[in-house]
Amino acid sequence: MIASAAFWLHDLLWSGTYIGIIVCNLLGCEFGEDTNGNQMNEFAIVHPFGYSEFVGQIELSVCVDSSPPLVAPTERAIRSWNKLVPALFNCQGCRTAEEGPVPAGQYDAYTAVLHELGHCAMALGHFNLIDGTTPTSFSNVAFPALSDDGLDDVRGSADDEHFIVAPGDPLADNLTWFREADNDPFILHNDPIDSSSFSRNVNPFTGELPGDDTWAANANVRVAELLGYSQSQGVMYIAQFPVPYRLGAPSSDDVNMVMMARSGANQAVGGVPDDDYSVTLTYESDCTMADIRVQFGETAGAVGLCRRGFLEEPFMQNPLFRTHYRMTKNSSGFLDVVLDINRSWDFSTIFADSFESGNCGGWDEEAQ
Amino acid sequence: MLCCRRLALNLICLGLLVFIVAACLESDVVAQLSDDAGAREFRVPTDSNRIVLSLERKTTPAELPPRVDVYADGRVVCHDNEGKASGLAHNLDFIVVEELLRQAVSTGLLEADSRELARRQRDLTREYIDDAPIFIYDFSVDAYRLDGELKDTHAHQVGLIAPILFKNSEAFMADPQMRTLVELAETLEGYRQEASQ
Repeated sequence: MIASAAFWLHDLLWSGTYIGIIVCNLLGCEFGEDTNGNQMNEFAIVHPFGYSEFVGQIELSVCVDSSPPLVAPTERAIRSWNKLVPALFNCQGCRTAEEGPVPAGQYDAYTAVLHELGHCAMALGHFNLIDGTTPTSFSNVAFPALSDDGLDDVRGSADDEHFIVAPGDPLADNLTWFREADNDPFILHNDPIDSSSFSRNVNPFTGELPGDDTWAANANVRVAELLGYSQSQGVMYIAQFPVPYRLGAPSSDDVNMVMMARSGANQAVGGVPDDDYSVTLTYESDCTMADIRVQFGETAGAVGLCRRGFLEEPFMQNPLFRTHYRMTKNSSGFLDVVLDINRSWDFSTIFADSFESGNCGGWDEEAQ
Repeated sequence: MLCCRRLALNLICLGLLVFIVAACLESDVVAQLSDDAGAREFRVPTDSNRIVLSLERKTTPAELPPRVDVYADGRVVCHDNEGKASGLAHNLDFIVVEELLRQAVSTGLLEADSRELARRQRDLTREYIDDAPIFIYDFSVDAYRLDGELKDTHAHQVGLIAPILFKNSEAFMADPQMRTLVELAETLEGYRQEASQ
């Protein structure tokens, strides 16, 4: 007889939403505990450090610790998140795992800091996971048995179906927000970005997906091509196999997710009461005064990391429907962005190729 | 006549050789562990195709194979993204296999409620790391005895946030099981690195 037990932990920190640590076994999953030891649910929403119900304005300071070459890329990443101007053509070298071996090259420091600040400062998660655990939606290589990529053969697109265990099983929960009107993560509309126009419900009977769509389209580079955009990808895409790509400004999907969180606890822009908020990042030269530290360090092979504390409830909520959480600092008293000290890094802040070819879409918004 | 006697002698020798080899294959690696939970003994058959311990990273750098397997006969084999063997990192002595398993058992990975290990990591570190590799520990022990009682075959799979990242945490490393987990991960990570060179 084989006695078996299986579980794993994973980050469920989601786009504009949350979660912390998931523990699964054959009986199901637990979605981690908050700082009070209460179990969280997978549809919880996470907000940045400093958030409370009527905070209005959150200011977070960012420093670079003992790594002068990181100052310029960090300052540029700060500008990008402060401006929140979405861009197309924002990615050089974006690729998915099925495209084969990764070319050698230096990793772009700005891209890595931008992504990690997406976690540590903006409280964003990865948009290309199902059930918050399994990255089926980014690649035709990873976990192919867990999804059907539909007629377009593009993983992460609107005609996908993602399953909990295998085709035929119940559909996995979708945790990323999609625009109900078009399910296009590369378009930033003028309509309010809140629960009146965005949803996570992909249920074929009760959901809000348009037309015959079956899944919330992901902002990965192949889906972008399918929708008519080139060299475009969300900053918060998680690459199963890190590649040395270079990003410009955040994509519409990144901006939409940030704005969804900022619509506050009532998930309504300008709702009553008005609990909308904004976040401003500033560069702080003295790390003892900073909330977020950027530095090099050991990452166990990851390109970069965000080390943070557990999540806490920002205000009293119904124990049966706890939804909103905010990030806390780690045991060192910071939110730490760590880039792999063992990699070769490029610290230049020029989005070179597209600029030279006259395509400035991903470059000019934030590189001032 | 002489030819027949020689043939018979050869057949006898061959049979003896087969018997010895078969006996060797059936002999088990036995390791002892004694700690606060009491004396334990576990046994690993030297079946050459049996994976007794493996480490897989759910997210891994492209230049490294994502999975490294330790076989009962001492082979350490790395596998590529599609599960194909991509390199033989080592041929370990049985005593090293025993030591790796001793480490694995002493971490508590084989305990009935293996979730406890994850909870303890969480409680000891009080932090979470976005983008950290998730290490999936997967190992089997054919016979596992606790306090003298023979248990059934165990095959466990346990996932943890890369323990190595908590190496600088005093509280984490003060826990003997967590410290052993770090050592085990470092050893297997070393094999992975060697296989990629």
